[in-house]
Amino acid sequence: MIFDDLAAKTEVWPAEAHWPRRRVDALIHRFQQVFPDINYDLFWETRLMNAQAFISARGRCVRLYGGLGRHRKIGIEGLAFALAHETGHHLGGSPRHPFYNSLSSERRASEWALTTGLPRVFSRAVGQRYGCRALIQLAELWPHHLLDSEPLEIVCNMEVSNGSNF
Amino acid sequence: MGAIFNTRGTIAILKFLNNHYQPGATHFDRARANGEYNVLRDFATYPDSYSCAIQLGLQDPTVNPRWKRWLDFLDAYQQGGVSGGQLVRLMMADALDPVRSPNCYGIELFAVPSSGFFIQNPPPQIPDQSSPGRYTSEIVVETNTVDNMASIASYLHHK
Repeated sequence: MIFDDLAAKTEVWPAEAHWPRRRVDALIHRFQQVFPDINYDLFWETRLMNAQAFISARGRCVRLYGGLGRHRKIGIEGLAFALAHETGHHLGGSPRHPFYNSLSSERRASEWALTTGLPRVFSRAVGQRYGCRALIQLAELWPHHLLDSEPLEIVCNMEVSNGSNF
Repeated sequence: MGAIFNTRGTIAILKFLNNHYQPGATHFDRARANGEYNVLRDFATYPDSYSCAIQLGLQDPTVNPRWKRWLDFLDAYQQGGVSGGQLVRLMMADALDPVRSPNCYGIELFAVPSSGFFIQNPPPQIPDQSSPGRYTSEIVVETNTVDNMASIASYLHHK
């Protein structure tokens, strides 16, 4: 995070570009309405390619960073999953994060995002479709992404059992 | 750190920081028993945050240059007339001190990228669900990223 490298300028839309900002604002607004106890915000100017759950004086917070929000290869599905994953750190319950007792683990946050967060924000069918596409987008962007294959299996199994396709 | 992407460097830093102070007999309780709050408050012997971190074993050779760089930036910032590094050390010391915070049983440190510098003071507390009255102390430091801070410093230097 603070110690990470930044995305290259060529990889992200300029901070002044209107539509990526409108897209993110609309997405954050939607999450904020569904999860009013979480404080969502944006650090748009940075090229840090990430999102984060943390606790502050305002309570439980989720922050999206500009390097991810403005990334040219990330669609709305990837952004929605990132917000849902961070929300899952706060609302996912056990198992807890190995370093933070107040947050859910990475795997639990991803499971919660796919099975609870995205369906609540977008409806079940859209949430499932977003989840699967998001994992592909994020894995392409970050080949060493720590999301293991299990969340992808969860969402794809759900799709199979529902008889839907992508 | 509760991030969507976790790089090896970030994990290394989080590991030594939060392993050291998470709840448990071999973590926070040991740091408290060892009187680490006295080291954190000893600004005469350890004037900068990095030397204090080294003394406490809060370091990893694979990430130390970046870790030192961030701590040096933290020391250079001021909030309420106190350097950022000193403020964080005092908050950690108070959480560890059994006289000042007898019901604190762990510290969680969040380094949050932000456009400005801000340290939450006093630190938020998260109650222990299984033991009413006890809590962990959440030390939240908002700063720009190391790379952004380095480029700002370079810009100001060349101006």
